[in-house]
Amino acid sequence: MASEAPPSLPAQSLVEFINQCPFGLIQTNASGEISLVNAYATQLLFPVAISYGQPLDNCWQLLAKIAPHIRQTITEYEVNYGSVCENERVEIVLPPPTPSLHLSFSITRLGEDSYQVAFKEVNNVVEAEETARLATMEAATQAGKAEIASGILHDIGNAVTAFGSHTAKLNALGNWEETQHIHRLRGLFAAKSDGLDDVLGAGKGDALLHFMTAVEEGLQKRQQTVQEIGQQLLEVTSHIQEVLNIQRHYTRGMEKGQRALIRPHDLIEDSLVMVGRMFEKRGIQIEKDVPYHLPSFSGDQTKMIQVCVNLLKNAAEAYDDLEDDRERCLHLQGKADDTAQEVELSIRDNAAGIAPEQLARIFERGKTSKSQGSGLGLHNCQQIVETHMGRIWAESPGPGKGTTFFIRIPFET
Amino acid sequence: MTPSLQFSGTTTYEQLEQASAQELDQADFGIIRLSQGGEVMYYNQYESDLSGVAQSDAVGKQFFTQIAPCTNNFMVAAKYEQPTAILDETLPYVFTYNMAPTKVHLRLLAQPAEAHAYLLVQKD
Repeated sequence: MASEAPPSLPAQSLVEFINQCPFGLIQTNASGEISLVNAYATQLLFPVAISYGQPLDNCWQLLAKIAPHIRQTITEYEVNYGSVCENERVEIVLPPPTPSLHLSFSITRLGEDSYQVAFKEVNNVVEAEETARLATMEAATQAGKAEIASGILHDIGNAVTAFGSHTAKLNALGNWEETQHIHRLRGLFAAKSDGLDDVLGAGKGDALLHFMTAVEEGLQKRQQTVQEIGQQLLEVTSHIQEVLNIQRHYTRGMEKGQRALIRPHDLIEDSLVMVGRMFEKRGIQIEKDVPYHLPSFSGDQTKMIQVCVNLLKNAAEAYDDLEDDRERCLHLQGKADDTAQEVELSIRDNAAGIAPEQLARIFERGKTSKSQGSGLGLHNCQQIVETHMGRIWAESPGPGKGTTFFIRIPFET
Repeated sequence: MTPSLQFSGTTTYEQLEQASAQELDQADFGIIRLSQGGEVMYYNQYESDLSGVAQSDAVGKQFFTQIAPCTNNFMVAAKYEQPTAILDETLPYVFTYNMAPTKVHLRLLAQPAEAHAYLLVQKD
């Protein structure tokens, strides 16, 4: 470039002003030869040019090395005026230990033979984006983990419910009849011990009695062991349930629930197994009319069992405040409504009953008529039933006249 | 009469330190005397003619950010930061005088614990 006489002062001020600009500004002709370049452009690009073996007199040649896609875009831009590219990010790798340079290019065609190449360093933007990306990934990973954890808790919950159900059945076996049979048989033989010697031989009668005593005691010990183990299993199950409940707090909101087909008959049976003792203790008869072939509905088995158990417990406890000696009977009924395509379960007790003005409010959160308990039971039940697209309600002729709880859920066709 | 100061290695740091303003102005290449903080202590005539910046305007300004931002990178400016060894390096560069790219060679001179550093500029 031929050196010219120093420009007059206003132009000098302008040049100094442009040289302070934190954007690179380069003017080229159509071949990419640089005619004007500001200080920032040289400051940033000269080291790049050197490291890529390019002189800093042709912008297109440099771009071909550091940003071939931009070079291509320039070639393809045929119009004589307009924006060739805007905010195109380029990462320029430099020899270590110099970190990569991130530039953002905006190229404008000013005329047939004139281009303006402007660029800015965006290292800090790139860094901020990377930090945000990592944070998002971390959050997504955590959410993913929580979702997996939630799924596991749910599966274990289901398995534990089934386990608890079987354990409850085991404990419900009660005392073994066989032990009592042996005892009675022994008593029978003991009464006829003289005759035994005649039949079996001298001294054999006593031997038989001793043998039977040993069998009876053995059976009793075995029964006791089984009952103790059964009780411990129940406690373990209970403990696991507690652990699951605690862990569920951390994964709240992630539950998708597992939908399985639930047979209403099995639902009632499983629920009764868990609370059946409550009715026995209170001398409440249970009448069931829940046919096996009622249509199944899709749902969360664990949660639905919770609902039924809750209603059954409420029904049992409803008899506690009664003072008369009416015949206590709980009616469980299930039927299919083919028109509405719903299955209806009802639990009818003949206990205290509920006043009409209370009926509407018993499903509210926090409402309880019990001296103990938190009143969360029925509200929870309603929410669960509603997630099954069903509804739950109660009817009662009035205080002292019993209550019926109804659940209706659409069945799977 | 050839100027006494040379761009190349025959002229030493000490000679530049001892040169008078007149001798600096007689050189046929640019000489900028800098403080340790990068402030222009002296801006010779040749450089002033080349850049269009008046000598009096240059003195007192920050060289790497105000006078010649095109040198504000690891290739030039960074080498002047607290030199722990004697700096005497010559390298090719492009100056943007009046927005026109001009090929030059630079010679960077600095010594640890010395108050001044030098940048010499020779047009190719």
